Amino acid sequence: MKRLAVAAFIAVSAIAQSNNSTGVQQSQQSAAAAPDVLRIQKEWPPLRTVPIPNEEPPLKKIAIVADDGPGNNTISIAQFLYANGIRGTFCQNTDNYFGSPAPDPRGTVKKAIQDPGILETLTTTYNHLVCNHGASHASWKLLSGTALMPTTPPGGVDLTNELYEPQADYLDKVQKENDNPVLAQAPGYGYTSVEAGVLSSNKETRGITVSNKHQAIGYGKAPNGVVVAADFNCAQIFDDPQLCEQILIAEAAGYFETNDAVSVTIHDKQPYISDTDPFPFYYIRYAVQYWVQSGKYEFVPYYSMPGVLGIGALDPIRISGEFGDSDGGELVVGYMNGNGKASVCSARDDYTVWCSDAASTEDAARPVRLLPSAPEIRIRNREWSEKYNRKFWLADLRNEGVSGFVVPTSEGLKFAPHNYGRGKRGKGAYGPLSLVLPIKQLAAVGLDGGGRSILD
Amino acid sequence: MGGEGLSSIKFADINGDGYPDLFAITSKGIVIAYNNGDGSFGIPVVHTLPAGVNRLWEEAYAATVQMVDINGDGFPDIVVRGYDAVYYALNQKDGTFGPFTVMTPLGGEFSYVKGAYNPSQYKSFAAVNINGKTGIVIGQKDGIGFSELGNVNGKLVFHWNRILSYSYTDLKGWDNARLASAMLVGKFRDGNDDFLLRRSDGLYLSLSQVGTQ
Repeated sequence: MKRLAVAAFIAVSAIAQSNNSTGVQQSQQSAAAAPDVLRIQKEWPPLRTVPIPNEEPPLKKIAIVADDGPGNNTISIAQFLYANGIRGTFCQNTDNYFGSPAPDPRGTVKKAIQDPGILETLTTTYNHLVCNHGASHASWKLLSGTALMPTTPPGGVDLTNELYEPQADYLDKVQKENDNPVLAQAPGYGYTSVEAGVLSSNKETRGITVSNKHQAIGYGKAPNGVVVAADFNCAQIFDDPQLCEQILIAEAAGYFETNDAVSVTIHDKQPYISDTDPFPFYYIRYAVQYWVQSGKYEFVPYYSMPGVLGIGALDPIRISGEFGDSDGGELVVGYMNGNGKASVCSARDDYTVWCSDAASTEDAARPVRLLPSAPEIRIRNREWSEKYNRKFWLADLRNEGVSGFVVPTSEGLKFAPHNYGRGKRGKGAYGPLSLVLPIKQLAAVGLDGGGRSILD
Repeated sequence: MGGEGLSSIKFADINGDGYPDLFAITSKGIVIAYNNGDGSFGIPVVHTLPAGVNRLWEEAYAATVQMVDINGDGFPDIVVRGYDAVYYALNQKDGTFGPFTVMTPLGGEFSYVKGAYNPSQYKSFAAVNINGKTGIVIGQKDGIGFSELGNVNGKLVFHWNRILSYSYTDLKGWDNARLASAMLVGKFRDGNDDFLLRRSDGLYLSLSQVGTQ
């Protein structure tokens, strides 16, 4: 049986070798007929450059946010995160404090101020951030659109100044003392465009907004496309920290499939269990250990997420098929239209300058060739094209509200003002160049004489 | 004129007269030529660079110089990357600048782990203003990084380093070298700075996103 198998292997190998040699012969025959093939291939369009990704993908980013504290688990969680090099953000309800709840929410507020050690321990000792989560966790949906100050909401509890009570200011003060940004996160993610607008306009960055790129676990998509971090709170469903951990990891994994960064909001104080129960600490510890040990994640502070501190950048949109890598020299941004909106210009291979408005997210205007009124930057001027590599600047040297051209020449720096559309080619043309800084003066201060390329 | 120092030339209204002046850093020092008010320049003056400013005169570093108002007094100040630190010098409002000082990078901003000490990153070093927040952006390995300029106890710092967009990463077809070398900043839509990138197939624009939309 073994002999049969060996024989079969030899037979198959012989066939393969035969096929291979046939293939080689065919290739040689093809090579003999290559001229016709190559001639045809030369007419194909040039290949595009395709970026090759690095072998190591970037780590996914996680921001750990703990809401609703302080509670009895707060310090344990803070210590654990700190020990793992993680900078968490603790969004505090300033009515909370260590100990039993007081009957009057307003009374407990004062205690939080009187016993601020928790805030300082979080920020100074463990290098975490704290943020404003309201005084009593009352929904900000209840609040007035203009002042965020309801009078008597349901339940009869006076929630006046839910956001701007002295304890909120104290919390902000702690943040500033530690050079942390001032943050606020709406309880229950009750967030409308009105409230968001009031928050962002009233007090620095108390309006916390997160861009679409920064998906949150669970829910919490506020109007206008703003995504706010959402709760992960499974204590009321399963009294099993490890099961909670698995659910949390699975939910996060779902978001990581399509996002580079996820903020994970957990709770260091949970309403459905006793504050003395270490349940929150356990499931948070399990989940964080999983992420740490996987080596696939990088823990970042909440504010480093796009949009959290009020600014971010939208996804890139291709606005023009022109001015690609091989289309012209260095790109230069200037303000060519007098409307405060930027244009982008480049000296193309015909050694003249073309400019395009790119003010829209729609297709950019096709580049306009600017009429070269000056021979210094015309086609066939080898000095500009070869010695200076088509270098130019866009600057409003005459304070006219529109950029003109500054170019290097053997005589010195020359300037051509924008001529407000009076050129032969209409809009975009510029006037003749005039010397604005002689070569001798440039040479005297070291802006000449090196003879090196400006692109080194 | 052979090109030395040209890449560091910037035009900014240093003395507050409304006309852009010429500023550059060369091996001789800081060069300032004031605008005569008609677009031409007066005789350039050289101010010697102070000792201890590490390799700032080398062209790769000098080319990163940014003229930006970092203390809110309405006059452009100097921010520039040296070999091992970012330096700033405040405009004295009389046409001169104060001493070069190392900008304290709180929180590891512009650190090597962020890819920011890689020389290829220098070209993307740019001052921006978005929604009234002034800072420095840089193309780093995980996107467009932004460090806000702030004042802590009278000391100017970079802090709260954050990512403005994760959209420019290797996995999304934007290799790090391109982001570092081909990112331009300009106000393409409104008064806020946006980001323009060049690729083989044309231009891409990423608009800055502000507040609650």
